[in-house]
Amino acid sequence: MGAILAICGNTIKEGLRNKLFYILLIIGLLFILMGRMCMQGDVSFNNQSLTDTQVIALATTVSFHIIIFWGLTLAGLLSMGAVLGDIETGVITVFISKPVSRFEYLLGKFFGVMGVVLLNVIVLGCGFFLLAFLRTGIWPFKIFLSLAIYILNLMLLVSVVMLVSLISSRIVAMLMGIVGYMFSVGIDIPIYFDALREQMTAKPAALVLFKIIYFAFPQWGSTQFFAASFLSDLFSQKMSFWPTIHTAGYIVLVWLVMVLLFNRKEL
Amino acid sequence: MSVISAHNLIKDYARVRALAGVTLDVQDGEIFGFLGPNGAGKTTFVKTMLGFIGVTGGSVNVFGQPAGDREVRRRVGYLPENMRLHGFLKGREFLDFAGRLYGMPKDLRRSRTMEYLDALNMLDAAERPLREYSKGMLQRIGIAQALIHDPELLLFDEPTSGLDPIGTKEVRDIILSERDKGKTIFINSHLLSEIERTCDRVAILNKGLIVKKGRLDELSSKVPSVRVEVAKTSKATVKALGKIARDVQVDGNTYVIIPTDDEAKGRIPEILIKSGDTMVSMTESRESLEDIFYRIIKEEG
Repeated sequence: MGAILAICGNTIKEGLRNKLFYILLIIGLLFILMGRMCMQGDVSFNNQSLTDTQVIALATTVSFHIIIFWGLTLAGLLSMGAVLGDIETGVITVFISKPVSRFEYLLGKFFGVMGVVLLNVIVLGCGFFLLAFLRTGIWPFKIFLSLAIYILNLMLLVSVVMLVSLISSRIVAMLMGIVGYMFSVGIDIPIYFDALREQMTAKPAALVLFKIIYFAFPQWGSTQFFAASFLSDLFSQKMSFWPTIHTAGYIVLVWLVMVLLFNRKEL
Repeated sequence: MSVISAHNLIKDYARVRALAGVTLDVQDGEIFGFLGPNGAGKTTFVKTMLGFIGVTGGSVNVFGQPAGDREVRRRVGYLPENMRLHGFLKGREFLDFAGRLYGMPKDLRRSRTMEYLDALNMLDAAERPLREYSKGMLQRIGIAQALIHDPELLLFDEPTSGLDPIGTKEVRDIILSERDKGKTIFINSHLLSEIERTCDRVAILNKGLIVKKGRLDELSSKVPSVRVEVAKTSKATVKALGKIARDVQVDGNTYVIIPTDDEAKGRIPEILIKSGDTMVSMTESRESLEDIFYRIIKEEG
């Protein structure tokens, strides 16, 4: 446990001494500030003024997506070099020549990257939280519930990018993460939303194939929609929580493959 | 007692056999030098000892345990070749981090960190990030991280590489002082003069095979060469010396003789007197490690 904490702490230190962290944080905060400016004056929709609660719900949903976008970006950028960078430079021999198992090394790196990403998400979340309260006097606690659920997606992305980086290059690992995530969002929209799925007119065989792909592929999109469903009425309140279980299962699966692969890797 | 024991160790990479049946024993408390030209398989051997890479055949044990065993690594200090470190860490932070990975308590980490920074003349650089260190400084901080947990076995891969003469001497002094503390030290190097000054025994590796091993005097030609300076050399003396020597060369006013054995060596003055030569001086010279190394590598092809 001590070794995992030491490697995790070292990775967090590495992330916080990287300018990238602060650049992304500042850009994220600027976006949140822009969101705050949109909350100025009366906000109306379809010629009807929105109540403070409605304004907060709308702003929270927008801010949630801003925060996860920058969280995903940081997670991808940090995780693509977390292990591969150490292998490329040979620094990894310093770690694994000590009484540290390869599994502990991976866990330390993973928690370290997650720590930095979570710090980014928490700072942005708190920034929005305070700005929203200053505007309306309402504390939008729900954003923290949604972000907490969304952590599963970040964990899966970091795991996938770390895994792919073990067998390819940094850029391929990053691209796999981004493309995989976008693909998941694209395929999850028609399947996860009941109303949309019921209107699908595809042939039964195509629908079956579509569902197989949906269940076989990581459900980043559905988990994101489920997390966002707590923020406003834009999403149905009765959305299934199963994508979170699916994502958690995928994290375990990716880790099994990663540990097997890393234990056999010659360094 | 054997600290390192390899038996018929074989390691194949995709296109090359890096180790072709290495058998080796390193005894407790000795400084063992592992020599070889670039690509001979020296670093591969160290990597198998630490479990960084698997073996194709044979076995290697450290402290009687299989290679890469977690408890073995607790007793080993390793300095990699071309030490690369996390540039964002400060020197003191890096040593503290290494101590944490060995599970050392905080107070001990702090005291050992300062002790080794002081011993390696790096106290002034303790709070500087590693990215600002010179190659020599990185090498020294690498040695400090290998020593910080007071290991029983030190595996040094090119420990004096990139160091200036003062740094080289400091590292040599550290190696000798660790030996005096009873530690076993395994040094991979191609710096023959350093090996010659510090090691008790050496092994020469070429193309994945150990071609010679033993103490330096054992590796040298059995009988040292003898240089005899005379007033004037003559063909008759060369012919007379040829009867008791494997080889006789004339170098100016000097005969360079390789006697067949110790008895033949004792007869050299007598032959010179009988031949009427006026002897000025007679010296005996053994092969240096460099001579041995080049001779063996040349013989092995």
